[in-house]
Amino acid sequence: MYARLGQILLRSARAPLTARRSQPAVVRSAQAIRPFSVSPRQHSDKLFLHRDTPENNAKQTFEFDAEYTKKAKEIVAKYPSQYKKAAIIPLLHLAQKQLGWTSLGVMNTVARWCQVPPMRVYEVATFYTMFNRDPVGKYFVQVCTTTPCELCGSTGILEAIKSHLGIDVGETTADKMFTLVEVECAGACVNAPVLAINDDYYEDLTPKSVVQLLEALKKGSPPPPGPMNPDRKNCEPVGGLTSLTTEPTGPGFGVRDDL
Amino acid sequence: MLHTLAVGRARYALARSIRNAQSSTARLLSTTNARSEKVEIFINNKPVMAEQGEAVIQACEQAGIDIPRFCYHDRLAVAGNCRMCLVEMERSPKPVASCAIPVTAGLKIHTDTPLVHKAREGVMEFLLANHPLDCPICDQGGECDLQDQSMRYGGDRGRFYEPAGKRAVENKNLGPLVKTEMTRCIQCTRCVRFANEVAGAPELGTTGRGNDMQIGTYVEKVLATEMSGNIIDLCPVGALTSKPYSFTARPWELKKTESIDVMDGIGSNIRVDSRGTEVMRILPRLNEDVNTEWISDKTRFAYDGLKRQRLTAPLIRQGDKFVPATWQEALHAVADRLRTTNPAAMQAVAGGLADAESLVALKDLFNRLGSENLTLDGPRGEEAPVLGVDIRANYVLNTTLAGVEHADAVLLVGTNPRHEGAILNTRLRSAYLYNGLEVALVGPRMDLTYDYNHLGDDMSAIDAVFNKGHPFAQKLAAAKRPMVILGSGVAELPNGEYLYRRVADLVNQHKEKFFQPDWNGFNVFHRTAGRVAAMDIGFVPNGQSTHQQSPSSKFMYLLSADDIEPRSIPKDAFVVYQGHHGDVGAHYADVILPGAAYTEKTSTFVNTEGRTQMTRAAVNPPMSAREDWKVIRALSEVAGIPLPYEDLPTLRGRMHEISPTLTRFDTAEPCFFAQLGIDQLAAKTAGAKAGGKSPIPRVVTDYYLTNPITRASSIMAKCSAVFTKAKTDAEALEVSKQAHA
Amino acid sequence: MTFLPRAGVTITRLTPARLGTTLTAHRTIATSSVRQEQDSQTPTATETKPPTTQVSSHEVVHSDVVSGAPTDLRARMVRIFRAAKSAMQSGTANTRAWRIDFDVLEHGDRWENQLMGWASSADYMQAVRMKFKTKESAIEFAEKQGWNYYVQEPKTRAFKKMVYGDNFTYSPTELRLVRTK
Repeated sequence: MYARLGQILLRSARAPLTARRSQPAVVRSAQAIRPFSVSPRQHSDKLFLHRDTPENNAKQTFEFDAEYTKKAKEIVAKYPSQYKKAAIIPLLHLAQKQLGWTSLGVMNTVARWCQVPPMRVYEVATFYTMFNRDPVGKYFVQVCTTTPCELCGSTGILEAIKSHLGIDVGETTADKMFTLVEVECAGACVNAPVLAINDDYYEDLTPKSVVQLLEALKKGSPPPPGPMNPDRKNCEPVGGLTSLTTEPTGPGFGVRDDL
Repeated sequence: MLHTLAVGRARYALARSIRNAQSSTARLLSTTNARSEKVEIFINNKPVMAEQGEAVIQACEQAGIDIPRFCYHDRLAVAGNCRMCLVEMERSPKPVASCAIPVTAGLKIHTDTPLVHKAREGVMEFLLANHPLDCPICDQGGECDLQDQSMRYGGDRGRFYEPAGKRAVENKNLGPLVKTEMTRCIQCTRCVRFANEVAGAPELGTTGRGNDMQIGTYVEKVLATEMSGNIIDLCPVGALTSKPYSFTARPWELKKTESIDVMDGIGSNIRVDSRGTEVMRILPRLNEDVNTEWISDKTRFAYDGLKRQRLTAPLIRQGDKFVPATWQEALHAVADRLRTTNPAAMQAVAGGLADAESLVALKDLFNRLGSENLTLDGPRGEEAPVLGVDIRANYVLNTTLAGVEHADAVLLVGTNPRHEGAILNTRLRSAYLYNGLEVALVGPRMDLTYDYNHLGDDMSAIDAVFNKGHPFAQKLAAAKRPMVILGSGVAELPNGEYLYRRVADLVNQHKEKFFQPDWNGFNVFHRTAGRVAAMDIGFVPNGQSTHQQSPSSKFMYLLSADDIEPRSIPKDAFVVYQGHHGDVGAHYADVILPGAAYTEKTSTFVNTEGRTQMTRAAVNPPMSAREDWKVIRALSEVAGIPLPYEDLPTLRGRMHEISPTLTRFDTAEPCFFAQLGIDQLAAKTAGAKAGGKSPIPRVVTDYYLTNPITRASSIMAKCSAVFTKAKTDAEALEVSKQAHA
Repeated sequence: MTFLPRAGVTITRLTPARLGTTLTAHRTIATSSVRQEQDSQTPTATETKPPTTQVSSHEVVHSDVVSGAPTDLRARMVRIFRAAKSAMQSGTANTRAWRIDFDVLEHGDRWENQLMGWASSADYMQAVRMKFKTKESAIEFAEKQGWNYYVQEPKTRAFKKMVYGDNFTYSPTELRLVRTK
């Protein structure tokens, strides 16, 4: 943080994201700085504008294949015919499943299916962070870094993945195998720290087990989803039950005798 | 004696106009359901009667209490996202957004409590947290809602200390008209709602979320709508400003003149902002009957054409050159010809920008000389109009512009309302969205911003409406307030009579619906500002002219006639051009008499509904140019037959004598004998044939270049390159970038 | 827009057209009683109430005879109006007072300073803006000064109930507008 302040005072033009990552190795004349505290601004790592790229432009069209067309039709049929627009999110989700990400072609196709102007779909797709508007690797690694996971060591997990794959958050490996992102609460706090790879949760991670997991994925033999801790099958305590160890009480427990 | 008579009539005319101004509201349609239940609410402890269900902000406004707002706008859907209109409502734990709270009986609202002040101050602080402090270099400065409201409601000190600085957002390229500075945007989404609801340009929207939310098109493209300029007005901050006006003036330097637009037949109410001798910009002015509060881009941005290609001095042709002359010389040159030419070989041609005063003066002048040969410019302008000018209902938009919004079925014949009068198109779109309007079109296919049933390209396609099995024929039969709109281009078609015949048939077939006590569904839509006045005055060919087949005029007087067909000007004719721009008409002239443009004269125009409105001079005509009627008056003097009016009131008296409607300002007189008009039309066109399968041509090929002012305007030229000529979105974007590189 | 002649005394009109020709000056006479007579002759049945732009009934004292104001002013037209709300802002300031301003003179009374670009004018009335509480007082003032005037009635906004809930109303038929924020 001090390094960052120093940079600002020196009118450095470095981007905030870079500044945030730099380590406070040297403390520069802290006395000269007015005491205040700021939290770094969290900007989205995504651009909310479209930029044409070879794989993502209006000419790269998208169509549902036979299997997905059937599913899409089922989804659209759920809504009144004049409210096809209600199917925007499910169809985007479906298309992302088929293509792996939400290209401009996907959005345009969904707009056609839902009979809305394309911009109405762009609005939805840019609002929800789980629509990947850029291509992602085969394994989309989503590390939860919200408070419970953070307390249980998600920072270490993230560092382990970064150093193992040699990529930063928001980046894809050169072989297009892995994309790493940080996400907000994955909803599996009971087995924190947790990460999701595509649709599967891997829980109860350690820096060591996460590297093993990545290796297994690289080899093409992913372990079954769930806790990576061999001592745990589900979300039970590791060393056996710590509560509810006795027989449950029967009916009438604690009730007055005369009743 | 003549003078006193004319003056007496002028008084009479004026007195009539007063009375009519009063009765103008009588014919407004009211079809909204009469569920206007009034309930009592309390605003600042004062009892107020408000309509059940209206927004609290409206009730406060009616009670005379100003509520600050950014996102709320009377003509756009309620968004409720700026939170500036927070008020205190009793029994509500938090302040509430008054734009989103409906009025219910007994509501107790407080707008002036410490809670409200604090809430407004807080909202202001949040809005300003990401708003740059660049007012000195912002074009909105001085007329900025954010600036004014932060002065009035904001805190007196800032707590903003963010080392990373304020949010920055990339600017968008929306084309040559709207300049964007998106960092200033406060996300009120007025522009998005306007584009989506009114303009029919759904490509504008919001992307992203939270602090990163931004307004734009996501995929970079220009905002291709002819109503785009209105988002500049709507923007409460300086995020969307006018590109042509950028950095040219501050609002407090400008002289504001309330006037009327002449770019199309709508007659939009405008405010001309001028500084010194120059028109700096044009803004819309509220008129519920005409343009509500929008104007089209041509109306707003063609003003720079007023500075270019102007005729500033009388010119006399010598060989292949025009030589500047004094008024004396020029008028004598014309008057000599006038005196020596046989009246039978004289012809006066009126253009689309001619005002009523000059039309009357020119007609009187020609009549005094013994000539009745008055024609209009454009194809078939030398033939007597098929619709006739005896019955006014036959050549105006009888339904009225406001009435269009109550229609439930409309047949467009040979017209593209989007390009011939964009305001009418927004009215039609409004009826389409909110009144279930069904539209059918005979003519070339085009994007009208709403769905329509395309009956066909050629004339015989209109027969489909008589086919009982046709879906639109059924809709028309079921409609309660049907309309037919005949474009002005139909009169110019070689076999246009056929369309008239079929329309007359259609109206007769459903006559009880087309002609109701408060409804006249037969409409003729004119695309130029001067045409209806010309017809009211009788400045039309009477059909007895011998020039129709082979033009043989020896003397031609072109009054702002720039759509003239070159072949209708004989080689040996002496041509006088009177107008304000050196455009098509001036090229054929032997003598050019410079006139005044609409921002430089106080003159009368009649819009396509037959509504008489008056422009007001904002600046002076350049150099030697003079008001048009005065030029003709002076010419009559030189020619030795002085016209009997020397000032505007007497001239208007003469206008009243010709047609009382010409002096009933601001009203669209309802037309009588509509049925008789249709019968006449049917009789006149009986037996007309469709004449081949050739498609009906587009009347307006380039929306941005339709009259001398627009053709002289560089802004319009850029618009034409970007919006009309570019074939693809990418090309349009590229051209737009180059235009401002 | 209502077009009113000035009532009262004899006006000497100056010749408006100066196009290289000479026009003779002439005199016109108009009184308000004449106008009212003509009013009653107008044959339309829709008339319900007398025009509100009626000149105040009491005798107007004409000050132009003694005020020493240039006689040129009597030939000029003034407009009585209420300024329209600026389209650029949502505020309604400056739209409540009735105003009088002069029509611009046609020729040569404006120029721009070649060096600085400042606008100048020889028309001493071009910047005059007078405010009045009511239309009647503005009319009375104009009459007192002996000015030709016309009254431009302000345009009012039609009331339309704005309902936030309309964003979410169910449409049983085809959806013609896809709403957005």
